[in-house]
Amino acid sequence: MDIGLNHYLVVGAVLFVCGIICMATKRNAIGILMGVELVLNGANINFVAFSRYTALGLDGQIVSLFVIVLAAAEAAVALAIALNFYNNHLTIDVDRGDELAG
Amino acid sequence: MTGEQFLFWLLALTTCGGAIAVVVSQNVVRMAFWLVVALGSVAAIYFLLHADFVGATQLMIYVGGTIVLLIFGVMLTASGPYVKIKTSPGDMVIASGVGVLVLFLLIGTVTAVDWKQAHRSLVGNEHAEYPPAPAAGYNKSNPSSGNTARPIGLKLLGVSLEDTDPTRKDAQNLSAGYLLPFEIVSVHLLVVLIGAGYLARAKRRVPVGADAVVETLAAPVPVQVGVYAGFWRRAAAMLIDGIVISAVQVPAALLMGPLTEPPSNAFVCVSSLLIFLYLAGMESSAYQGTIGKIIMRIAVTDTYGQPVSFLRAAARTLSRYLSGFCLLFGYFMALFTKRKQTLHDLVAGTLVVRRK
Repeated sequence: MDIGLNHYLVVGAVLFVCGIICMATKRNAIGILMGVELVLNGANINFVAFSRYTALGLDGQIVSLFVIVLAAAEAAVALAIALNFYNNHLTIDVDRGDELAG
Repeated sequence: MTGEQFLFWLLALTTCGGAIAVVVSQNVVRMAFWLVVALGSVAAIYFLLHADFVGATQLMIYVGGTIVLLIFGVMLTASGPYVKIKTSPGDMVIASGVGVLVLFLLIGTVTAVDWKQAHRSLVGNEHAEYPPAPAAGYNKSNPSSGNTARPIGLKLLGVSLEDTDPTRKDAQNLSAGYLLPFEIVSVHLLVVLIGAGYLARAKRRVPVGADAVVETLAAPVPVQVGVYAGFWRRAAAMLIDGIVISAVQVPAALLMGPLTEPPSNAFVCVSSLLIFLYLAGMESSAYQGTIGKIIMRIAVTDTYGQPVSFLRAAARTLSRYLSGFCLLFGYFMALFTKRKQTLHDLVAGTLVVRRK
């Protein structure tokens, strides 16, 4: 069986679902962040695979570059927030951060 | 099984296995390790898809940057019981069930599409080759070699090589430039990094009784503890030192040859070493300062008012390069830091104070 577009899309889907489960179940703020990274990578595999297997040319690769850069920025900010949260609460269990709950 | 197939299945296995291991493992350090495996395999998948530049970026930004950030976060927050925060089994079962359903939905959707037909209708040619030749760019004679960096760079500037390629009619009018998004992302990244640095800054801790220690310890050279040398006095001292060093260096250079020719490497090395020994040696000596500092009546001490060791003076001298590299900003820091310290003072933990 030749490797085609579908194979890559399925790999991307597995990464995406793993990321979603990670975000939903982890109580550790850094674990949630890792889930976000997995989701973004799943989307990125789709972009690059479409760029290889369709007539869209390099556009998919460029969008995936933007995603990588924005993911790095997002990781920096999210980690800064997590560190601040840890400094104030001495834990990074997101279930403890409920002061704003109504 | 061809090489490409073998590589694909291997990488698909490591990617999916790493991602699943991230979900399953409860220890945050192990999660970070499995994330490295998964993201590294994704980079290899990019290479398999002829996206060499994206693959390299993935390796550098994710595996080199984001992972380091994450591991720093793990190290700074992983203390005692918080390394493991257990997920309750009920949550895990429900989430896995929903996740598997979503996965089957996605796989069903993907396999329901006839990508060959979609490609041909998009191109407008019933007999178009599928899969199309890799959209690798510059190296036309050997497209399978990749080399996408140049076309990607041009696209970011708003020029598309594909639009000008007469053999690829299908790509016409499908691409616009990416200059504006590129600029927006650049500014976004800058703003975000400054904001992140501000958010994560360390709280300033003043050691209790540090001032009292300074009062009680007596220094060999009588210095005025707490009277820090001003910027202009230090600049004058540096000027005098510059004159002193030049007075030795220029005649030595004249002996080596005419000044119009660039100096030899050996001369530069030897004179750099001698200048280093002069600065570090004088500052760690009983004089506590170079000739310029003695003339301007200032001295180098550590943060407790004591003379500095040779190692500390050497660190200070080497850090001067750091101050110089950032457009001399490190020197100008003496204008606004609390104890009138420059960048090399801060690095080496030294102060410059007035003599009595």
